[in-house]
Amino acid sequence: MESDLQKHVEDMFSVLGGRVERSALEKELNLFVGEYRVSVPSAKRSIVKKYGGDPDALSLGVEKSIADIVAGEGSVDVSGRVVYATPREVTVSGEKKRILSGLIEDSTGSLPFTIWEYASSDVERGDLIAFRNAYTTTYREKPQLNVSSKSRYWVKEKAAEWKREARKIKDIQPNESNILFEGKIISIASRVVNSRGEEKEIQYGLVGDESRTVRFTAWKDFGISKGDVVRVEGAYSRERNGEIQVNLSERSTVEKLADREIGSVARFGTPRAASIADLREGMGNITVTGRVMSISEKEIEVQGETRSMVSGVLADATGKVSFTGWRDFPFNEGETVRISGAYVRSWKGVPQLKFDDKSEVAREEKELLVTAGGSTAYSIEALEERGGAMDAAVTATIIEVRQGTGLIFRCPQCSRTTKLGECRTHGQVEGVADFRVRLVVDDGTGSLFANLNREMSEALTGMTLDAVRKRTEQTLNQEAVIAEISSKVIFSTLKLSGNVFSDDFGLNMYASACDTVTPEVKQGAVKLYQEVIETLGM
Amino acid sequence: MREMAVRLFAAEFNSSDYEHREGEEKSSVYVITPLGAKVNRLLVMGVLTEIDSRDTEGGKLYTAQVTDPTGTFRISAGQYQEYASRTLQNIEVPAFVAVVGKARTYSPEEGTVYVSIRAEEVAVVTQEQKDYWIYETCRETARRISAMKAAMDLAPPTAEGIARMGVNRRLAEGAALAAAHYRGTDLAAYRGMVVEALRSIPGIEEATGEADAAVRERSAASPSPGEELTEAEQQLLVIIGELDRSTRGAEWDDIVDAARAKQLAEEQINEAVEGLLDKGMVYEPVLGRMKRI
Repeated sequence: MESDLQKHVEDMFSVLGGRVERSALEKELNLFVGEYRVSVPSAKRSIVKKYGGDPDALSLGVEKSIADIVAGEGSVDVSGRVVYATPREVTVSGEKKRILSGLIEDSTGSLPFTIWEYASSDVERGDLIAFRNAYTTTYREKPQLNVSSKSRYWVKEKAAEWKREARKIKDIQPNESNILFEGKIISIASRVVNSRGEEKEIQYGLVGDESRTVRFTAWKDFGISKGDVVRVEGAYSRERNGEIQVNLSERSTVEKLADREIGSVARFGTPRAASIADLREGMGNITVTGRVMSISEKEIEVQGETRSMVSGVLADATGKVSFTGWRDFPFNEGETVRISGAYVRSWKGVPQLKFDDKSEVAREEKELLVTAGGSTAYSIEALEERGGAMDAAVTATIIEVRQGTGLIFRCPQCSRTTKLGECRTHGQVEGVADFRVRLVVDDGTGSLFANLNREMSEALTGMTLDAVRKRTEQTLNQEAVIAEISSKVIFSTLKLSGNVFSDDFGLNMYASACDTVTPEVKQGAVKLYQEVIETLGM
Repeated sequence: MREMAVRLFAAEFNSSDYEHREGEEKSSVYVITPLGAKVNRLLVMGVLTEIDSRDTEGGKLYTAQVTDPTGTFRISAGQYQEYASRTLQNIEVPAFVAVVGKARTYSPEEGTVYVSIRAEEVAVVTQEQKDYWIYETCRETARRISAMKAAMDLAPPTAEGIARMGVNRRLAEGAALAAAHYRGTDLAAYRGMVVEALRSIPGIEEATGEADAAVRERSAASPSPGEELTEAEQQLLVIIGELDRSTRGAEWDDIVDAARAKQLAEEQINEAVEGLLDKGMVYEPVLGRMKRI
């Protein structure tokens, strides 16, 4: 209240041109409002009048934005541009009266109005008009402004070459009429509907600007197509399923704007929340909340333009996902963030989270439970359905030691395996000896190819690189070495973790950890026993 | 796509007589089991009990038998399964082994189908490994039973319909094929098979004792008419209990012999066994065997 009073004091101070001290005005206002219980607007008017100022020039803190006006208000002060105004003669209880009805709008919305005693003819389209002490009623579930004999109105500013300003789509309220907006046609299709017993072809689709994208229906063919940027005048809005939709009626006008670009159109709909394990290729407009596990930023050249890109790993209780963001991302490792309006693209089957400047990012203060111990356990079947995963853990049995296992040579520059001493990229090179094991593992729900690095290969087989090298030289036969390794490891059960990708042949894991395990049987078996006994109804 | 290694018991595999082809030029061959497993490759473990070899046109062919808690797998390995053949030659029976291989069918005459495994890999395994396989196989069999139950509840049983009931796609496809080919797979018998197989894992019978007691208590709390047995049923229940020494159930022929010895007519025997099955006092762990619950 304190600061509100200050604002009112400032309002009066500026109307009076600084002729009266602020402290004097404050004292007056306190007297009027505090002691005499006069309403703030009346008090201000009286004070300004007392000091010889124009009370009509007062506004600040008293007027409401159109969006804030509700039906059933007793005293409303508001001003706006006149979108249209039509004088009419009506007969009220046998008496002829001249009224003016029309529509005003500000940047937040539009409001139909009626001046019930309109004697003059001074209100024109485009005028900035102010109303005082008007009241609101309901018309089509929307407030309508009534200007009675107890109200006052005046034109604050005459229209001089007034051009109506287009509204931001996100500011369009339900049940507005005569809306002017500019937007890009995101999609458009047509269908035949039955309207009042007549077959009628209508067009529908999505239209959006930077602030929002909404559904539209056009009740006649305006000759618009996908990608057009249009200026629509005379549209009306409806709400369906909590969603604003705009309608282009027969009386609406549509103008194509060749020189207007809308580069970054907002995504359609409200983002829906998803947990990381549920992310699937093709998802759009989702909200993910997770902890930043790692993050790095780099500059990237995109079509001759330098853009900064942020990438890293995000984790929640269900799993981890790598992310790429094309926007400011002022967060650090360990912080919990909420990313809204993100989308999912897969790379080699692994879902990745993407976001850009149409997405919203915010720090989340509450503590988030994050997947423990790093990797998330999956059945291979679940990985197949998903297409892959970051840092997945599987427990599965080795059913084949694959070709490519054993001694290999790598290019010293790019680490690619060499063939007959040649690297695909660097030609003839002195290869560096390495030992790897490639496996097929299977858990009864599916199989995947697992690739082990030298360290894991040595630990699994109990053979060192040198030993493998010696065996290969002795036998001159890679097959024999594979057979030897196979005889040591086949049918062992492994717990493997790593990133899993998919290609045409199936799932591939590049293991980051590999342990031979004796899986727990008893607990699972007892549980299963009970479940089956139950279904037998014993 | 590489074919996964399905886990299934010998009793389920050997009851299969349906080969199904799909994919480009019908290149993928599957044995569809009565529970809807789509078997191209399978992993089995058990006791290697016999190895034979014989000379064929295609070279030496090794055949072997591997027994699991429900029955016996027929295994073969020829000249193209060089390593599997060599391993088989070097194992002394009996031994716990694991075999991964491709499902094969053999039809010596119209209407008769035998299934076997063409081995890709064979190796000796530990008892712990074999027990883990039994557990995995029970788990997968139970999932197939659920899928099959869903398929049998649907008319017609389509893969889409079954998948909509929350069943994995692969299982749903198999269950739809099985439901169309096999008429009325006896799911209770397969459930019994799973229970028996789980009991064969050391330590499980003791651990489940409590669970059994709890279940029995529940059924005692809600007495059903099924608890009143006829005289013939009571006699048969005793016979089945006495004959069931192998833990795999009493052989049907032995039951009939024993019942006849007690002056029961074949009709009475059949009726009594039906009654016991209905009242949930016995079940068929495997076709042709009866077991007390």
